[in-house]
Amino acid sequence: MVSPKLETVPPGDPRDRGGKAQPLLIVRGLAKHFPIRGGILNRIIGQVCAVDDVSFVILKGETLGVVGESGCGKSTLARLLMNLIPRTTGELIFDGDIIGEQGGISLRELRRNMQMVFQDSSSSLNPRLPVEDTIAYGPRAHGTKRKEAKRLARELLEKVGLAPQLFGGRYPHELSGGQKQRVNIARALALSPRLLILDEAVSALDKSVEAQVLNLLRYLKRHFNLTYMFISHDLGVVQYLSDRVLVMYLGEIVEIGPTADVCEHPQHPYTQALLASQLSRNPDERVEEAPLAGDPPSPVNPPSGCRFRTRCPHAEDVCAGKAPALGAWVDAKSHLAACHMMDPTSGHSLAARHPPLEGEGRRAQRAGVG
Amino acid sequence: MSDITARPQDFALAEPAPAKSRGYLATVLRRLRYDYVTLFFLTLIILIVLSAVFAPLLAPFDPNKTSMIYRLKPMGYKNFLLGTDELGRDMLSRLIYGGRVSLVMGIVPVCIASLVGGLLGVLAGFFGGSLNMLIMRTVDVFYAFPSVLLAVAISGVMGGGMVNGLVALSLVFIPPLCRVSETATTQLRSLDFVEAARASGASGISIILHHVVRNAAAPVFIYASSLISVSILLAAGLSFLGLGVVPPTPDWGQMLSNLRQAIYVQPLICALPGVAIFVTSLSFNMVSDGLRQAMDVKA
Repeated sequence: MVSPKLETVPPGDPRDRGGKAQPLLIVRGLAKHFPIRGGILNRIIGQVCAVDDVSFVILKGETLGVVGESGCGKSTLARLLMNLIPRTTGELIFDGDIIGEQGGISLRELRRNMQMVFQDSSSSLNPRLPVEDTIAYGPRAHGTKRKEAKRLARELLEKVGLAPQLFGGRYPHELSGGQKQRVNIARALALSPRLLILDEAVSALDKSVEAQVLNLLRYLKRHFNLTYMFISHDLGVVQYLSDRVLVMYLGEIVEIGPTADVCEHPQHPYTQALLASQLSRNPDERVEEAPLAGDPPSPVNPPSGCRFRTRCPHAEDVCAGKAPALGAWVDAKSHLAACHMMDPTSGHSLAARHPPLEGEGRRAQRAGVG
Repeated sequence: MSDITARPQDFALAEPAPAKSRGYLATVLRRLRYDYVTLFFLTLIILIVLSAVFAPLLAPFDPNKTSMIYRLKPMGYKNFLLGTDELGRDMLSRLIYGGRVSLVMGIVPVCIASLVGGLLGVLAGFFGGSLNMLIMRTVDVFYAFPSVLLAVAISGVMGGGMVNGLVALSLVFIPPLCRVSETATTQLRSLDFVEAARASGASGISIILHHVVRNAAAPVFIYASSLISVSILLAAGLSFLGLGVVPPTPDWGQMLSNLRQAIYVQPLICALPGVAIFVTSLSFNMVSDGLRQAMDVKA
């Protein structure tokens, strides 16, 4: 077993096997249905469709932001990608290797390459373990010698901005929220992963600490040549950090595209509502009404056709009839939305008025983004 | 993200570093140092343990030497500081020697039950599903009987004697300890740090040892310490019923049983084994309470 090295990873990463064009992670038809059990016999009486038929790719070296309101399946998606919960259907391909099948990459090998930072900074650290040991635990589990793992942990503490001689022997309850989250990041980096999933990693921190940690994440990304999947409900933070954005609603992807494109020209009514709900710093631009009323429908019994139609201002009969497709993803500049209004052949009365998808792409290119 | 300009100084820590770090054990000990009640009872326990260990040196007489002349003499009669029992044996010597049996019967079953019950609980809590079902429902069957009845029944079936008594008491304490450990483990399992350990690719055994046992140990230990006094009382009860140690080995419960016929002759001496049982079990209880408070360190 090779012990993890911790120098700066050069852009020409020796771990890169598929080449630059090969996406780091391909997700195909991923779904997770949690069964609901009930009755005396504990039979399955229904299921929660937490994540439903989700397909996307994460490109090498990019930051993919994932947004959506609470309960839309963001965290479930993260746990599915980490293989922490078994998936119902779908496949994951890491740098060309299919995960968990013969001839592909083993789960153990995958865990060296893919790590996760959890949302709750306090419950994600063992209260009875000095933070140094928490960081060293991953490498130790992969066969690194105790001394080497300790050295690695101290080096990582330094990298995340915590003096090892001061913080190494400390217990989690002796640290502040921001410090704990730095330890969590160090722990995730201890196995020198290539893909880091950040599940609401800064959501629980206050704003000044959040900014520090975001800057830290940007620094680490360059330093270790990382790829991020950044999950958040905070659009501002996602805009700051991400190259591309993926918008989720009720377990499905409704829109995906380059950050600037999606934020400036949102195509899906849900993305539009989400962006409109962002408060302006200018008091004159006060938002008087909530752009989106009500709660999302229950994932136990999702609406037929388009799942957003119950809250969509443009919903028509066609929306209840069939589910809109996301369309085919081509490259990093593709901007896709799962909405009948984007498809001239769908029969939606507003479909014709929207410019075709290519137009959006060209406009983005002219503006110099993407 | 081509315009990354963040340098280490941009995310440098703005907050001051906290004061000197203390480990968990150091915090607990520091708290105990100012808890005088617990310290007093801890001293009592240490004295009782020392007297039991050094019984041959401390006891003024042979605890088994009978004498027809000096039967049921009052306290302070000649050299018998605490009087004599119904067979003329020195009470003080017998009480000192009896502590040996009582302490062993108090501590050993609880230790065995903590290990077995704690382990079963951790397994049930960590793996859940049908293993949890199997273990916890079996434990529930034992819960259906009152602990005294269960101890008496098991001892009665297996016969008297110290080893059988130990086994019976261990069996009695496994269910409650198993349940405490299972509850603690179930709570731990849902926490993110166990999930993070799984995400780092560690094996189940490694996660149990490093993350689960370390955190579930405190509640199990606190509960177990409170069971020592119960165990001493149950052991005394078994001896009282003749299911404990075989005479003439001195044992507080048995002494109480034998002396009860002399209650109208020498009531004070009859009460002595009871006082010994009471003080010992009270001490363990108080220390357990103190430990519970001291160990409740904010995680």
